[in-house]
Amino acid sequence: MLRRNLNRAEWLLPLLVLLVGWQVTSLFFPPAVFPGPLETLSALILLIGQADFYRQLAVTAWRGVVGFTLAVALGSGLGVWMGWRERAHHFFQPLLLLATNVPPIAWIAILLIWLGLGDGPPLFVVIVTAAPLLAVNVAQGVRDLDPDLLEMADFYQISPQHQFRHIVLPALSGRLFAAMLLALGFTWRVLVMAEFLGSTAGLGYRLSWARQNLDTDQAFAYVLVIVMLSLLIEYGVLRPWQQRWQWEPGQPTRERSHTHRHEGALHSHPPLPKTPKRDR
Amino acid sequence: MPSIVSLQNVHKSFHHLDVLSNVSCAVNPGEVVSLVGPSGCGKSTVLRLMAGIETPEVGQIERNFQRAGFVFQEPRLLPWRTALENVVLVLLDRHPASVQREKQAAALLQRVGLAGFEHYFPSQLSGGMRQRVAIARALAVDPDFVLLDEPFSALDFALRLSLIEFLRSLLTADNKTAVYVTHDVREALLLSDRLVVFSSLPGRIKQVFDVRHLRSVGHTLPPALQAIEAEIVDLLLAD
Repeated sequence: MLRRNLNRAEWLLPLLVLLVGWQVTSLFFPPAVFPGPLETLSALILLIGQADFYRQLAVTAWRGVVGFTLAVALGSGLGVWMGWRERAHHFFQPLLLLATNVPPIAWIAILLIWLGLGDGPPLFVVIVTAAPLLAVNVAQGVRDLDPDLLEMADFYQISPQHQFRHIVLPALSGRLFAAMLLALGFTWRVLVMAEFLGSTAGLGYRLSWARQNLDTDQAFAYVLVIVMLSLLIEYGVLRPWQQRWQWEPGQPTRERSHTHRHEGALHSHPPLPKTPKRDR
Repeated sequence: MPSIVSLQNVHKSFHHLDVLSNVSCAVNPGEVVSLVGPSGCGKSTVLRLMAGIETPEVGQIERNFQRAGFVFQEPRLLPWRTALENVVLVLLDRHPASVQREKQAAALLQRVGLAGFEHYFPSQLSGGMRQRVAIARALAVDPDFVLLDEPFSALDFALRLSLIEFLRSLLTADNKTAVYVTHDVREALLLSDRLVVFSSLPGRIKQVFDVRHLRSVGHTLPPALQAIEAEIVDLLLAD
């Protein structure tokens, strides 16, 4: 209980410092240049009273969720293939290296030329940015699988689907979730950038609109909404999933709270049972 | 009755290094055979060849068993699964009903003295207990042939002796056919009906000792077995 309260306090303190710093800084500038928390809050209240705000929010959320899901699916699939097949690894590794080194802004510029305004560029830029992160991490995870466990599973003729579910997936889960959290952060950043630069809908588009009209308080309010959306997906969906599905070798999973928990391994031995002996 | 497994003039090498040369031996139903030899002499390779994990370059291997259980040198348990789930793992494709699988796995854990530890994770168990889970897993497939590759080598002497005695009672009770790999002559004598002594690389069979009529009681070797122990130690030292 005390620990939980401490954790809460650890969260609150930096937020409080940020708010105070923000408020103090805003005192030195006119609201049109640097609005304070109160001006931003009133702009936010104004925004959430408008139907259009929800349309823009829905567009961005949809693009983010669809783009991220596709990136995870494609990236993980490619990663498993690369991890399993040496030739696939040799073929895709340099391509992924190239893809991860292309700045997102360059992707956006090219995608805007190719696909024009609309859902295309934001979705594609999310996929081309996030999928390689997943692929590289999952491939490494597959390559790091314990060959002894796989040999044991092969010896006992455990079917490929059971091997995947009980050995491969748990072994991969740590890297997979780490990559997914990283990719999620990238998703919102590049998505809003793409919407800002070339879209006719979405929070990024509204942010660019606010910039053009010098509605700085509205721009701040949109930034706040984008951050909240990102945190909602991360802490509302991804981290609870991680809590439930990430297996840590040597640690009981959190989903199994009903099982026994002990600190470290046992060093005493329960008595060996007597087995009835029979003459051979 | 045909032998459970037999090797005929088997030759095996890894990366141009000859590991086994001209090995011929057979394991008969119901007997426990130990493969003894210095570390790295290829005795584990013989076991893996018998199990079908490795294939020989030269020679024939005839296998007449239906289901085999393998206890590896390391327990090879899934760290993210409980003791019970680790045993259930090998039953997933064998029994469709999960209740039946868990019942069978729990009974086997009880048999190896781990009743009450079903929901412990490997990291929460001691080394000896982990190997007992691995033994329960090997028995879960109802094997007609059990292969053990130095399963207790990482454990302390006293625990090793008590586990050997326990293993012998388990194998005897079910009249299981087993091959046990060890570099410890005493362990082999306490457990086996026959000992196959290997030379160092490339592994060749030096001598076979039939000790089924000289079984020990408890941890102590009778004088006749002590004499054989001395003979085998001399053989190994002469290498």
